[in-house]
Amino acid sequence: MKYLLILALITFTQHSYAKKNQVLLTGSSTVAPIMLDIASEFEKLNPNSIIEVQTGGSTRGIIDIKRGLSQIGMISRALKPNENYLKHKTIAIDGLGVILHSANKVTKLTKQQIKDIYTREITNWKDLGWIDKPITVVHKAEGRSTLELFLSYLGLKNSQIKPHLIIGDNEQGIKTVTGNPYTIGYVSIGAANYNIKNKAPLKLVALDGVKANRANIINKSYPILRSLNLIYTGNLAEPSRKLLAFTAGPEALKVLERHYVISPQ
Amino acid sequence: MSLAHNKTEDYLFKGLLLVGLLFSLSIFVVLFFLIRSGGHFFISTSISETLFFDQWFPSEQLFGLAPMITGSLLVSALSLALAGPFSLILAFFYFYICPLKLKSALNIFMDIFLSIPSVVFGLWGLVVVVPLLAPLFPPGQGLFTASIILAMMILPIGFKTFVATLQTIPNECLLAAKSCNLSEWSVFKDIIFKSYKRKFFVGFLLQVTRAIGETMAVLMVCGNIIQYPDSLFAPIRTLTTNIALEMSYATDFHRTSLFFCGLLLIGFIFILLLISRTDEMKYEK
Repeated sequence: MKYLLILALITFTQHSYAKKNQVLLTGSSTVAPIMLDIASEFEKLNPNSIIEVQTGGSTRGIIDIKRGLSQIGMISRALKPNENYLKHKTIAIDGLGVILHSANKVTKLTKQQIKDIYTREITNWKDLGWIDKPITVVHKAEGRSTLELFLSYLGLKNSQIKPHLIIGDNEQGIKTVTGNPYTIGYVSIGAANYNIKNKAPLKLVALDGVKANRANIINKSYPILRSLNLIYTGNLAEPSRKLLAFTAGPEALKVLERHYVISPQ
Repeated sequence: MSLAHNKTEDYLFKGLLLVGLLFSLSIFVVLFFLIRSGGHFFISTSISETLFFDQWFPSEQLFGLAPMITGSLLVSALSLALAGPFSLILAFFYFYICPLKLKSALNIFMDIFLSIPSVVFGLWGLVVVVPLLAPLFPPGQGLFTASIILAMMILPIGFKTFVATLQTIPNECLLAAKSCNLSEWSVFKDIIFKSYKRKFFVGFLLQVTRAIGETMAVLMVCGNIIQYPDSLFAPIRTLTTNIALEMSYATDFHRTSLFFCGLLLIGFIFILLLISRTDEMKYEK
């Protein structure tokens, strides 16, 4: 019993000690892998601090900040007007890319064609200049900010979309498209490029003739762009403030490059 | 010395009792929480608007659960149809025919199978099974794929319960049957299966309960489209995957409706357990 008490005391004190230098970030599954890498760079320079990153989507990022469950939220969109009381810091610019299997011969699509594919006006690859195979349409689950951005680009309501498959996060979408050459999907350009670099049989499609590359994101000619933001309320404690400043530093810039997203500067 | 020893034992016993009690109470806490968060949904919408309605668009305030309920029931039934008989046959093979060397190998294999996390099954399904099925039956993810993965997951559960049941059959009974010069097939059909079929039935029910509650593996291979499947290979969404996909993104009434999905699932499992319990009690009488 005595030992148990001592053990409990030790874990408790350690816990409260850790609490002081701990930062919890929750939110977007697009921002999370980037912040995870930035956080590990940060921890190298600040060995006392503990940064924890959890995903769950932009909406969770906002809810957790509202309830005070996390110190910093991650969202892969701009703040909505009714969320303006939150403070934000843009850490990167990312685009939304339409992805195909690398065996697919289609290299560019127009907005109208994508609209037709997602509403099943076009259902066969031969109508797009490839072989006679039915198109498998991959869509995101309700509530994802990637989905909201995609819908607002196409000017459609979610109930108008007729998908064959629905996926959760970026990674599942990429696995689905690489596993079946006749699928079409959309994910963060950063995530897509990261997987292409790691030899996934995947490619990004040019939208309305504009290629999904770095230059076109920087000069803002690519049609679906979004900012990746960190959000917080009021006064931040010391480690969180340091981390926020760190995201604009040279180490963070390298991480952004590694994840193929563009620095906002 | 012995007194002190007894005292520690006493403490230990009381402590364990307390932990056990807390554990059983925690089920009620979960249930209370679910009813509190999801029950509201039931009050503010009518049954026909949710349980028998097929439009689920939370952003447009449409909350029809019928396709997901159908999906959950279909995928559990199909996976049981695939795994149930096979696990029973395997258990018989293991108990009566299997040579001793193979026996331990089979046992270890089943144990390993049982301990594989469901995400691993799902990922394996997504990167191995789906690409195989996709060219033949597009889009590759759907009812059938999910059923195969689920069948693999519930197979060892059935196997273990059936073997445990077979172990309870008194050897005299079998010897008596053999001395009557009954063939092995009729021993199996007329004696073992007839007198133990209720216990086997409980094994099947356990498999269904596991299948209906499985989330992560199904999420990755079922396609997640909200529809009544029009073929064996059509994508579906189940109640569990609906919760997993949308919970972290849901707010307000959408969130309430997802808690209600959880409540429904608990309802299903409760009914299944009730059936198996009453059946067992009948059997014991």
